[in-house]
Amino acid sequence: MIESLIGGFEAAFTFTNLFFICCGIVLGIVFGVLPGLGSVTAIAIMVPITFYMSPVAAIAFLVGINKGGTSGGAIPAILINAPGTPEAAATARDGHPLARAGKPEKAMKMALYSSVFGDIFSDIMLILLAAPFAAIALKFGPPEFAAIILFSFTLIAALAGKSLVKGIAAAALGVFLSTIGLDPVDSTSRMTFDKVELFDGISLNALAIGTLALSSVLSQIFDARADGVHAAEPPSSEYAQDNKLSPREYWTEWRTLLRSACIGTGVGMLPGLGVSLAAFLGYGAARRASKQPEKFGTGALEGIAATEASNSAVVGANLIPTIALGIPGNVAAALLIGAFMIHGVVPGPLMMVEHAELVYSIFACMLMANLLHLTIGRIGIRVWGLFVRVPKNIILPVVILFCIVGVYVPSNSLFDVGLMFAFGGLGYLMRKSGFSIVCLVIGFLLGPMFEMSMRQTMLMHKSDLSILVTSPISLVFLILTVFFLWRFGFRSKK
Amino acid sequence: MRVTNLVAGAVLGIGSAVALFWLIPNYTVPAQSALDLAPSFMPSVAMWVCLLLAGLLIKSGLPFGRHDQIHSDEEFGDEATGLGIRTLANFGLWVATSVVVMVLLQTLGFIVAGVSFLVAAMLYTRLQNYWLLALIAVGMPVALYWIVWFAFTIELP
Repeated sequence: MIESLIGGFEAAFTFTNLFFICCGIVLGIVFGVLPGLGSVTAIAIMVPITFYMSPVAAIAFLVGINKGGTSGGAIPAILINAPGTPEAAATARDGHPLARAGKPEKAMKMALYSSVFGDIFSDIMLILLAAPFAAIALKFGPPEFAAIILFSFTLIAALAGKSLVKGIAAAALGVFLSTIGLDPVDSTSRMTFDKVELFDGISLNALAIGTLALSSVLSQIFDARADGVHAAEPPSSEYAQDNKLSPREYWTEWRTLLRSACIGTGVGMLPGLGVSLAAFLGYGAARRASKQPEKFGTGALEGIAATEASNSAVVGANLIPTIALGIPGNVAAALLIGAFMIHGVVPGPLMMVEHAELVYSIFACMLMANLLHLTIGRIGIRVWGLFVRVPKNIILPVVILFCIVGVYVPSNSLFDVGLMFAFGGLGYLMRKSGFSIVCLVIGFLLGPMFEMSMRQTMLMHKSDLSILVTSPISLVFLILTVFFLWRFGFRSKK
Repeated sequence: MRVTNLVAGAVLGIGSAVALFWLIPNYTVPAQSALDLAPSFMPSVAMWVCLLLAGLLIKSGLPFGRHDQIHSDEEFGDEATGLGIRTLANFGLWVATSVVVMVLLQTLGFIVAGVSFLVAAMLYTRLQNYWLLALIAVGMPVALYWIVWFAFTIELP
């Protein structure tokens, strides 16, 4: 493993890769700082652009956005008590009181350093665990994969929103949309209306950008019209500025950092459990373990460290099921799967065998990205705050223009732009009615894999689907699926 | 959420029924091998699931039906306000805007469509600094057009 990682560093340590990682981090922080956007929007818009990059540069760029976006969300949370991303909401509880007490930079430094700590920890876990997980997954056949994907659908649908019914309906709609195009086995057309643009299926870019980025921007534009746009002001402080964070102050929180990083990594490894959950679990655990729990919510550095270390630890850990099984941990990982596929790499257990050099280069890029994240984040700590003041009514319309360009560039097709507009409208209605967009996108991504596994099972076992219950692994996952359906579908109603 | 569930269930149910009884049978072919699943199998399963869940949603939306106690959605928080008149009006406005932007993109190109859209969107969101509005509305589409050309040698429409 060490040799492979050293080889990965040799392949990854190029000026181009470092440049794209830096661009990704800056972009991620800026999108994270801008209220309502966040790293998922940035990744969705940028995935198509990576078509023109090498696979390593592309994934490193997107991982950089993800890392930057997660920590960037903490900046408006600390400065104006308006979390840039949902996961930064817990950061605001202690970050903003600290900023009001005249220590905004101290709070931002703590958030950044804790975020980088969480990132490094989860990247190390990813490097250590991805290969063993993939080795186990190599023993799985199509029936086991079919059962695991079915279980993932249920888990994601159950945990993504409060309504299991809406979650599963969204995932089923995603699966249905993924079947449009040429049949993967027979190459006969399915629901294409003889339109050449649909033969390759619905474009992932159009669907992801439309439902994730465009619908979010639309929702905010309509809200801005209704409620007005208020310029954000940084906190006014009557106290003298005290912004130094000594190494001693930081490392005093090592227990909190380690605990939160473990929580974030654990949450990231399971499909469907979001970054926000990790942040609140980390915060709650730190408060329970603290000797001075009454200080939480009043500007405790421990609270900021706990939240940021746990939400950032999700980023690397999410890639464990993505690389080992081809099953995304959350929507950012789902978009990364799309980026892998653009470059002809299919995530799953064979990836560690067929593209080992690429995988270890990506691991190396992730470790380098942490150092760059620390450097860029620290240098720009006073600059990022300025983005908080950009009014929404300038940013939001411009982002829609970026969405159009993001979809048009890789496909050269106005048809895809039209599809994106349609998915933007669908996404807006889904947001308002509480249908999970995460489930829709993950259903769309896992649908083809599920269908292939089912059809391979049929062909290999002469149409005898009893293998799904006679294979022990498959049976375990089917039982877990039924348990989760019962647990979240019926028991939660009582 | 009661009315929203009812409306969403009805729309989902009608959509699934159309897909199951018209779209899938007419636009897919039978299986090529007796051992293989028919190409229509997976879309049909997905739509049957949607139809079943649409029924559950409608049931939860009926006045006498048991309904979920949903006050705030985890994924969208306060954004999940339900499908009221305002939401549907906003959706209608977006459909009309999309059609206009698509027509402008096809006929007059990206720059004209981009400038028109930005002006309309910024005025809609009550941006009152008209110099800034003009600068961004003209500058962004032109800048993007040339960036895409120089970076990817792709000409936007």
